[in-house]
Amino acid sequence: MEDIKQYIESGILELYVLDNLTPEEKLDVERYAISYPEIQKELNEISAAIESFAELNAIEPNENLRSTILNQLEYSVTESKPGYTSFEDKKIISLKNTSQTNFYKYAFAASLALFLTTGIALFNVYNRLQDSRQQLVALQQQNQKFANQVNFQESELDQYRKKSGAPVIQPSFIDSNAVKGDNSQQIIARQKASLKESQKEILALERQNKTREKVFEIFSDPASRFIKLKGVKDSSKLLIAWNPDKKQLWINKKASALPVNDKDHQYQLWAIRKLKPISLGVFDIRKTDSIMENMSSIDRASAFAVTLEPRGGSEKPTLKEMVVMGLNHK
Amino acid sequence: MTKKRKISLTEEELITALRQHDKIAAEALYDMYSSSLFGVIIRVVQNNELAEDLLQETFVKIWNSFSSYSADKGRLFTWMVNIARNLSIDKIRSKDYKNQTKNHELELNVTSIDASRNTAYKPELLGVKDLVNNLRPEQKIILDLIYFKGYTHLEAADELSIPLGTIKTRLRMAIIQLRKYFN
Repeated sequence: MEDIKQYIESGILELYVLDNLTPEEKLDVERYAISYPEIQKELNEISAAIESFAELNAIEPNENLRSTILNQLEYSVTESKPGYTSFEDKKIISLKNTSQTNFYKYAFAASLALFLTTGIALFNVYNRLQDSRQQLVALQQQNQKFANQVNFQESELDQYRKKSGAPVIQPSFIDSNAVKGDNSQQIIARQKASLKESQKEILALERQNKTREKVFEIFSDPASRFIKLKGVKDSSKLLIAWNPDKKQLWINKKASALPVNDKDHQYQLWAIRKLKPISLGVFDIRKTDSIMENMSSIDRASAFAVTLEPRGGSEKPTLKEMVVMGLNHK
Repeated sequence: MTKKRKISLTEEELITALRQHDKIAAEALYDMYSSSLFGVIIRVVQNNELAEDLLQETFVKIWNSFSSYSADKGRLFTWMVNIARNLSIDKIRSKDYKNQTKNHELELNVTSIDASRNTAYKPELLGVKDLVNNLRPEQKIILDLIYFKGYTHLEAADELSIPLGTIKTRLRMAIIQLRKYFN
């Protein structure tokens, strides 16, 4: 214990922090620091003092130096792409190059445009919702009729069997042309199969209907945000409807322009939060496609991006394959 | 004048972004540390133009050698301050620099810089003078030699003709003064 105190007081830790030791001496200090927390603590405090000293002596360099220096560094992905500007650059340009009034003019125009497109989209979704509700009701009625028919047929057949034990006679209400040569059991089997099919159809329609209801909800909620992801390399785009409160996030494929992906790849949507990418799931773009697709949601994000990944998605985004990206402007 | 928005990240976020060589990491790095590093550099080289070149070199070096940084060998900012200091010290010790400026006087750079640059200083910078004036002369000289002039402790001992152990304890005392000041 006494030794450690002496070691600390010798001043060697200060020399370590000021990078004034030989590599061997440095290693010694690092070894001690691992074994003795009080040495680590002392190193921390010395570092903090040197850092505060540097901060106190800070002198703002010439403003132009910022871009000169930033242009000298090599970046992992986006540097080589001419169309790319960073978040910060965008902000600076928009403030510097346009005067305040222009900015508001454009902002107003942009929000008006967004309002109108949202309105139209809302109207469309609403109409489709109504349509599919009607369709659903009709289909359900049809289904019910069909089910009744099958039940009736079955009971009649049973009665007939009980009474006579004789071979089955075609019930009168079945179209004789359709059933020629078949016995009733086959007919029933066929009817049942077709009943199943129509039930499936109803389920699908119900699912679709639910989707539309949800989409409708998102579109009509003022807390929803609509974010346009723009192509990093080309004119690709993707629209997202996102409601952080309701934890809903949808991609609008109809209003998007993304190339069709092949069998081995899938698009993966990422939210960027605190600089870290968080996967919100994968999706496909096909020639015939549904309009809206539900993705995982997130409560906060500073940006969204889509990368093309091997089918099934990746843990981390392949930044080279970034297709579109957009910021979440509040 | 509209205030330029600066990017600021936590050290942890910054380190992650730096590892990935993200552009935003460079921007944050610059916005968070350029003025501190520039302050260190200019006090070592005492020449604005040279300091700008060195700030550039410093960022390039931080950027390119970031893989060699490891958090258990010390704090990020300290590591960067040392890169800035070492590059600057190498510069003033290089042959062509020495040929340009022959006269090397032992003076406390902190105060001489303030006189040579007519920049508007932050009010708290007055505190720097107080702080430095609070140091005993023998502590000042050692801090100056080692921190700003990049002498090794061996060279400092030689220069001042005092024992190595004394150099070390005086440096420690000087830094303890700084610690007291900042607490």
